[in-house]
Amino acid sequence: MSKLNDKINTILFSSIMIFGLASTLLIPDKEFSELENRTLAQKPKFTLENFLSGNLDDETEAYLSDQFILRDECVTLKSSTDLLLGKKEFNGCYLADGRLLERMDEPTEQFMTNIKVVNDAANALNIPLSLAIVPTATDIYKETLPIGAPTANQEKLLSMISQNLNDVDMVDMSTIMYEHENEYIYYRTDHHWTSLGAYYGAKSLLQSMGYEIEPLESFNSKTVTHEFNGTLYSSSGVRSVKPDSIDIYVEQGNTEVESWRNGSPEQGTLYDLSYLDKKDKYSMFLGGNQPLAILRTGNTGEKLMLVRDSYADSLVPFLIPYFSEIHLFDARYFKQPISSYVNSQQIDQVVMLFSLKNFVSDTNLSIVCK
Amino acid sequence: MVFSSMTFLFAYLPITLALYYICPLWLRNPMLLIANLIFYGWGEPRYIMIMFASTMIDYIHGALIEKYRSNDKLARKLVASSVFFNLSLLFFFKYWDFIASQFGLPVLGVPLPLGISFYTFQTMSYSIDVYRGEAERQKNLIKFGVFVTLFPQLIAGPIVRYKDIADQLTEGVKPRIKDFSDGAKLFTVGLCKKVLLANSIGKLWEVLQNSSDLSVVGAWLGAIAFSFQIYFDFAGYSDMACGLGRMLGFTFPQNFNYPYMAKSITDFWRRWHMTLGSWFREYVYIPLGGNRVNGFRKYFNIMIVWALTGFWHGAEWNFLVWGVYFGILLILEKQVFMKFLSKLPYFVQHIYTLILVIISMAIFATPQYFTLYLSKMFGNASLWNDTTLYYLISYLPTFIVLAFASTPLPKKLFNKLPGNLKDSLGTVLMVLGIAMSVSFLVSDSYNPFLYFRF
Repeated sequence: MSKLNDKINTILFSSIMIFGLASTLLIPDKEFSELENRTLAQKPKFTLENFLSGNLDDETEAYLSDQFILRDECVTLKSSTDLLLGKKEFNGCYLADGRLLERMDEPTEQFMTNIKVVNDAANALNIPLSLAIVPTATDIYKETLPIGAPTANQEKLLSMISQNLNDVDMVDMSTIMYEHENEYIYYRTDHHWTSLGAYYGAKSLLQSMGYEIEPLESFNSKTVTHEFNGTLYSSSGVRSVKPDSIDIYVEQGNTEVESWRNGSPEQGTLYDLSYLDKKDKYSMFLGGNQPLAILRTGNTGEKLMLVRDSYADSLVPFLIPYFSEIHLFDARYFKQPISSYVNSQQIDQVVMLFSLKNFVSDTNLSIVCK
Repeated sequence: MVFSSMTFLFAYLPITLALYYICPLWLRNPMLLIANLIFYGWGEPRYIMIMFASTMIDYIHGALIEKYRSNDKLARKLVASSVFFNLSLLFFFKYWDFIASQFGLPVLGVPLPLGISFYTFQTMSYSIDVYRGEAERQKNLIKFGVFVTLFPQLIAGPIVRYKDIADQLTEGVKPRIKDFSDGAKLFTVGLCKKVLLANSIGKLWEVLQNSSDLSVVGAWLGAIAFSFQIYFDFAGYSDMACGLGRMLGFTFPQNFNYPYMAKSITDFWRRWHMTLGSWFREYVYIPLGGNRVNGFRKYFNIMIVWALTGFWHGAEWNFLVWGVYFGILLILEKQVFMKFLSKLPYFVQHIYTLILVIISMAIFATPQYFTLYLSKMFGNASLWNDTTLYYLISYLPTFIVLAFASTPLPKKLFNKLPGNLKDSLGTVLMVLGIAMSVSFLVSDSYNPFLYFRF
C-alpha cells in the first residue's frame, strides 16, 4: 500500500512541476491582464549585462508569476485565505462595510514639494489658479474602517495644503462629499468617484468660480453598466464586493473632443462605450488616460484649463455649459510647462483637480509647474 | 535563486530532477555539479569564482594532509592553512567593512557573496575531518565539488559536515521512489512554512519595525512576529533543503527540533540551528578544551564560542551582543538557574525560555537600532495604542496558527491516524500545500504596476 502511495506522490509532485513549466512554455504569453488591469511581464531577454547585474533573475521571476496559467485563481485563493484568517487589509485595501477602501500612507517630502510648486505655478501665471483636492472614499467612510487601521488623516493633510497656499484659491471639495456620504458617491470596487460624486464635486467647483450648477433632477441619468469591477477589486483580490454600476448624466451634445494621445489630434468622445466590454470600464469616460484633451463645447464662456488626474474624466461633462473650451492637461504624460501652455492657448482660468492620494505622491507636477 | 520562487519551482527544479533521473548513475555527479553551479551562478554570477577558489583550496589541502599524515607537525600546519584561507575569505567579504569602519580604515563596500558563511564552514570541516581521520580524503574532484556546491544546502544550510555525507558521496546515492516521495512531502512542508507562515507574519514585522509610534505592546508584538518569522523562514528553508536532498538521494542532518518548545536556553540551543551549534561545538568549543578545563577558562570558552556564533550571523554589533547574551544566559543556567528552573512547572519553564528568546530575537532583528528597540519593549513608549490593537486583532488568528505550528502537536495528531488514511491525507496535503504556496507566491508579485495604466 505504502509503495503505491509513494508512487502517487512522486507522480503528483512531478506532474505539478512539469505542468507549471510546460504551461508557461507552451501557452502563448498574455500582454495584458484584464482582471488586474495592468500589463504583464514579458519573456526576459538574455544578455550578459542583464545576467551579471542580477536583473535577469528578477525579470524571470516576474515573467513566470505574471504568466502563470492559473494566476487569477491563485489571487482569489490567496485573498480568500486572508479573509478566512481574519485579515482586514488586502494589498493596501481595507474591506469595510461592503466597500474596498484604499489605505493612504503618510505623505513623504513630495507632499510639501507639491504644495510649493502649486504656489510657484500661481506666481508664474497672471490668471486665476485654483486647487481642488478631492478626499478619497477612505476619508469619507473612515468610521467604517477597522479600529486603529493605519491610514493617513486626510482632513489634516487638506488643512495643511490650504494653510500653505499663497495666491491660490483652495476649493473645498470635502464638505459636500460629507454631506452626501449616504449617497452612491464613490465606487465600492474602484478608487474613483461615481458620476454622482463627480456631480457634487462639480457643484462645489463651479460655485467657487461663481457659477450655479443645474439641480440634480434636471439631468437625465442612465446606467450604462451594472458590472464594473474596478481597480481595488483587482488589486485587493477580494471578490465578495458587489460590482459597481456606472451612470451617465450629461449627453455628448455639440461638444467636440480633440484627443491628443500620440502627439497628433484625433477625434475623441465624452463616452467611449466600447470600454464597457472590457475590464477597465472607468476608461469609458473620455476614453481613458491621455496627455491632453481639448473640449470645444460650442458654448460661450471662458477657456478653462484643468490640470488633473483621472477624477476629472467623469467630472468634466458637468462643466460643459459654462465654458467655451476646456483643456484637460495630464501632467503625468504631458510635460509642457503650464505657463507656456496658458499663454499659447489664451487660457482664462486654471484649475488643478486631483484626488488627495494622487496629489500627495505626484512627481510630475514639479515638472510642469516651472 | 531561492527555493520559494517560481523560477526554482517551475523551471530549475523540474529540469534538474528530470536530467538527474535520466542520467545513468556514473553521470549523475558531473550533471549535479553543473546544475549546482547554475543554481549558484544564476543569482550570483560574479562570485562563482570565489566558490571555485574555496573548493580548490580545500581539495588540495585534503590531498596534502593525507599525504603528510605521518608528519603530524606538517599536517597540523596544513589544517591551519586551510582554516586560514577560508576564514580570510570570510573575513574579507563579511567582516572587513565592519572592522574597517570601527578603526577608520577604508571601507570597500564589497557585496557579500551568497552563502559564503555556509560553504566556507563546510569546506573547513572537510580538511579538519580528514586530518582527524574522521573521514577519508575525497579523491574525486567532481564528488568533492558536489559536496561543496550541493544546491539544496548551498546558500542557507543545514551546515553539512563532510563526515556527515562522506559515505553517501563516495559510495554514490541511489534514490528510491520512497525517497522521492518523502523528499517531496518534506520539501512541501518547508515551502509552506516559508511562504504561508513566515512571509505572512513577516509583513507584520515589516510594518511594526518601521512604525513611528510603536507602543510597548506593539514592540513586543513585533518581536514575537519576528521570532515566528525567522523560525519558520529558517526551519522552512532547512526542511526544503533536506527534502530536496532526499529527492536526490542524500540524507542531511536535522537542523531544527521544535525550538520554541524548549524548557531552557540550554535546551533551546539543542533545538535551534542544530548544525551550526554542533559545528561550533566540534570545531571550536571542544578544541578549546570544552568543559574539561577549570574555573575561568571554562567560562571563557563558552563566551568565545557564543561571541563567535553571534558574529557568524552578521558583521554588526547587535549580532555580537546577541551571541554574548546567549553566552551569559547559558553560563547562568549552568551555574544558577537550572537548579531552580527544573523544579518549576513546565509551563513556567516554557514562558521563561520564550521571553528570553523573544528578547534575543529583538536584538537579532534590529542591527542598527537594537538599543532603541529594546528600550521601547521595556517601557520607553506608550503602553499601547489603536494601531497596536488593530494589528493585534487582525493578526490574532495568524498568531494562533503559528503557535500551533511551532508545537509537535500537528505531527502527533497526523501520526495518530491509521496508515491508509495517513497516506491519503499526506498526498492531499502535499498537493494543497503546493497550491497554496504557489498562490501566495504569485499574488505577492501582484500590485507593483497597478497604477501604470491609470
